[in-house]
Parts: sequence; C-alpha cells; structure tokens
Amino acid sequence: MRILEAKGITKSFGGLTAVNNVDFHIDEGEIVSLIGPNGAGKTTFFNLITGIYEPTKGEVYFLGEKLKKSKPYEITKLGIGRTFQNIRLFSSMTVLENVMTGQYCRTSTNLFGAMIKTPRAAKEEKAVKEKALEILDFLDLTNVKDEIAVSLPYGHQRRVEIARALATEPKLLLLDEPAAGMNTGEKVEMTELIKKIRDKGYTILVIEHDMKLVMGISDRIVVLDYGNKIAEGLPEEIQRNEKVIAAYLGKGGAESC
Amino acid sequence: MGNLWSVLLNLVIYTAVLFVGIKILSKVFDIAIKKFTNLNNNTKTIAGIILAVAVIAWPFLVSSQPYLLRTSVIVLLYIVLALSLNLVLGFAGQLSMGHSAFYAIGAYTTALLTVNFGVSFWIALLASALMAGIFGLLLGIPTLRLKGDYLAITTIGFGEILRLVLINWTSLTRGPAGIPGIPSPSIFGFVINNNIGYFYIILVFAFLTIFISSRLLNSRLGRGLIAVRDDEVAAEAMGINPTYLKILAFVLGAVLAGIAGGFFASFIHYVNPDNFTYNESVTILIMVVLGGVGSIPGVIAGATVLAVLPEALRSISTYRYAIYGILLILMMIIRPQGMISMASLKGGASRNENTGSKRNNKILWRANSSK
Repeated sequence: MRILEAKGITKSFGGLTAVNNVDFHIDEGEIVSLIGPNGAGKTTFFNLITGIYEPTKGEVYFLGEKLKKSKPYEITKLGIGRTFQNIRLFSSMTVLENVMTGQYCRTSTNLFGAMIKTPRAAKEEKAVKEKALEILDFLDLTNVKDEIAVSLPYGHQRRVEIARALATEPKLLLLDEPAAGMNTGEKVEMTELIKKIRDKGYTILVIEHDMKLVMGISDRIVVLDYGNKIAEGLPEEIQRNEKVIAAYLGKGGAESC
Repeated sequence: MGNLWSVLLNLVIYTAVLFVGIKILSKVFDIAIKKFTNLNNNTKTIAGIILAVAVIAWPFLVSSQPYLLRTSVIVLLYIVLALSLNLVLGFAGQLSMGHSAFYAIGAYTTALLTVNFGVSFWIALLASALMAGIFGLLLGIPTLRLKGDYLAITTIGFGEILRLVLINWTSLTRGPAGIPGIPSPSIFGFVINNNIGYFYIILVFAFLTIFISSRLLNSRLGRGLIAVRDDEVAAEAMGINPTYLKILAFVLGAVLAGIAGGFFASFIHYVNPDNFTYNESVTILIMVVLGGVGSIPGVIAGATVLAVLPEALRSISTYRYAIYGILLILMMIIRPQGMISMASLKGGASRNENTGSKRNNKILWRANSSK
C-alpha cells in the first residue's frame, strides 16, 4: 500500500526555490532514507510532506488523501509520528509517562471524565498504561520506566523518543537524524532498532547524515541537492552514483574517486 | 547612627536565622518525602485518615483562640487560590500575573448579587464561578497565544484594568468605598455567622480544589498539560492541541479563583478594590513558586507558610516585609525548585539534585527561550 506520495512538489520562499519539482513516494513496510548535504532542502521537504508547509506547486497524498496545510497536532492525529533531531523529551516526566503522553491523540477522556473517573475513563487510562508498557517492553526500556526520562543516557533518550512516537500509533514514522551525536556502538544499536521496528510492520522515513547508518538500513534512498532530487535507488546504486558523490565531495572528489 | 547599626545587625541576624531555617526545612522535607514515598499504601491511607480527622477537628481544638481559627480560614482560602494558580502556572506552564483579577470578579459578583438583589450566597457563588470562568475564557483566547513575559504583561494589564474599573464604576461598585454588608451564607435555614462554619465551607472548597487538581494531573489531560509545559513543540507532535489545553487550565483556574473570591466576600462581609491589587497576585504567585511549581503538596505548604508568616511576624512587624524579601531571595538561592518539588515527589531529586533544581527553576523562564 502506498503510504505517502508527493507529486512534483515545489516550495519557493520569495525568489528562493527550496524544493524543486520533487516526486517521492513511500510504501507500507519500507524504510526510505532522505539524504543530502546541508541546505539541500531536507527540512523544507520534511515540512512539506507533513503538511506544515503548503507546496507552491504539486500535491502530497497521505494514505490516498490529499494533505492539506495543517497544524502539527493534526498531522500526528492523521497518522504521522515523528522524533526530533535534538531530543525533545518531557523533562519532568518519567519514561512511562512520556510514552503514555504519546497516546494523547488516540484517547478521548474529557475534563468531566477525568474528574468523575467514569468507568470509560478508567478503562481508557488502564489501556493507555498497558499499551505504553508494551511499547517499552518492545524497545527494551522496561527496566528504566520509572526513571525521569531526561536523566537517562543519550542513547536511551533516543529510544524513549521513538517509543513515544510509536505510542501515537503512526502509519508513517519519521525519524529526524536518529543517530545524531551517537558513538559507533550506539549507531549499530540504532540500526538494529530501526530494522526491528520496521519488522513490526511500521513504515519509516529517515532523514540522516550518517552514511553508514543510511546504507545499513534503507530499502531505498532519495538524495536531495539544492532542492532537486538528484538520485533515488538502492543503497548500492546511490553509493556509486556520480552525481551523489559530486554533491557530497565536490566535483574534484568525484574525479579522484 | 546607632539605630541604623542595630537595624542592620537585626537584618543580618534574621538572614542567618532564615538561612539555617531553610536549610533545615529543606532537609526535613527531603527526608519526609523519601520516607513517605517508601511507605506502603495501608500506612499512607492511615496517615491520610489521621490528617483528615485532625483537620476536621481543628476548629474545636482551637475554639478558645478565635484569632487562630480566623487565620486557619485565611490559610485555607489561600490554599484554594494558590492551587487555582497552580493549574495555570504549574500544570500549563503559563505565567499569569493577574490572578487576583479573577478573585476580584468572584468577590464582586457575590457581593453585588447578595447585597443588591438578595440572591442566596450559594447561587451567587455559582455565578461568581461562572463569571470568573467567562472572563478567563475571554482573556485566555487571545492572550494564551502569547508566551512568557508577554503573557505576564497582558495579565498584569488585565488585573490593573479590572481594579481601575472597580474603582471608577462607582454607580455599580461604589468605587473605593467598596461594598459593605455582604450577608452570611446559610445552609438549610441555619445562618453561618461564626468562623467554625466558614472554616468548614472553605475546607470543602479546599478539598474540592485538591481533588480537581490531582484528578486532572493524573489524567490524559494532565499529562497533556505537563507536556505543553515541558516542551510545546514535542507536545504538538504527540497530537496535543496546546492552545486548547492552556485555555482549559486557564478557565479552570479562573473558576476556582472566582469561588475563592465569592467566599472571601461573604467571609469579610465587605469588598473593596484594595483587596485585589497586583500585590495580591504576586503573593499568590510566590506561594506557588516557594512551595514547588506544579506540586500539589508543595503549593499547599507554600500557601500555608506564606499565609501564616505575616501573622507570626506581628511581634517584629517593623521587619515584616524585610523578612519576607530576605526569605524569597534565600529560597531562590538555596532551593529554587520549591520546598516540595514535583521532581522530588517522583524520586528524581534524590537521584539527581542538580537537574531537579535547574529544571524547575527554568519553568518560569522557559517560555522565553522556546520558539
């Protein structure tokens, strides 16, 4: 099933075209990576396909529906979960509470229900907790569930963030530089983790600088440079693609390769 | 000259006493929290029952000292006020500096309805809550898009405008002269005209406020609110509509403050604009911050201490405000997260004292830095 499809999307800010006529799609169960040098338009593209920006030209379809310009919380509700490049955990909450918060948009207890603790509200609360524990178990975080999330080591915090995003029950999971600031060992763990999540049936879009990670996990790679899609294909193809090498290392680099 | 030196000497002594006092209290609270969280549920229930019985029996224990009973009513009143601000500041993380405005709206609504129209106290109280809630909504919708300092400034403005309206709309509010002769409430025909009755009324409201706060905190909405407070961008990525939740907390806080105001009017039998100055807002704010922003037991402790302190310091009344100031400065230096912080209740502070204090200290200022 096609999860997300962008048809010829262009985004201009005044005279600057940040993303130029890009076609893109991601199918169910795929891990697609979006790479490109700094300033290539990755973030703009990210914001376009999540509906934060409206494309100047072209259209984005999510689960077959045309994506309108929406607020971030509406996008999450639609089924696009995300993590952040610089970790953004809720600092006063425990790990479990962080993950429970992720289910906010899948639950519906209102003020009245919360005050009176109606049977429905109590049931929902219990389900939220069970689901959160299940996700924590899946990501091997059960033993730290009662710790304050931000007091955990960096690698754990990343995993909590992913757990929290999974709790929003996403149809598409967006990972924004999941390996940023990690050491080699942690990167290997992250690679395994992303594959494990995919194997559970999630569809994942990764934006990443780390080539080793990208090559290790991607089913398909899309390369952006100056707002244009310059290549798309399997990791091996991208590795050999001259345009990509030129974009990353400069023209001279391409020749000496 | 000699006089000046003795004043300075006194201030130094008070500072030293407060310094040691805060240090000792901090330790006591830390140990108490640890001990209490380690207790099993049965012991906790028993402790709760003993506390409840003590509070209910309190008016009879102090019945020979009317002054003490009156102070107890004031303490409970401030607990309601501080907890209502805590919903806005502690849960939603919005720095509202005009909380006394809602308190005033509640007080004047009850005063006007009971004095001019002979409405019963209970209906007037309901109207107070409703009125404060409506104003909270009207103020909240446009202003809660603002953050940090800007929200603080608009709420200060709202408080001041309201006070000026109360002073100048003489045909309705009788201006600075205030509204005297507010009747006492009655229950089933019994007129409540002693402080024991008032004590129980406000005790019920204090309990209600604590109940609402804790139920809210431990629900989906409470998690949403704390998420908004901690990180609004991440909260939105969880599907949380921050504006909605902020307005919800703001209106709920306003409603509770309105009820406190209605009670106050009937308790004092007289309202005037001087009761609802900016100072009052700041006092409530300080109770929340000193006790521990976001922590319900902390806010209760803060409200109790700061409501009792002015009374306790009557014997050295010349130094009252100086001591108040010194206390604030020392607290912010020694224990910026408040006496009973949210983090310490979760066991976070014992593990990592530094992040605990820094984090909570930042709550007030966080809004500045976040986009």
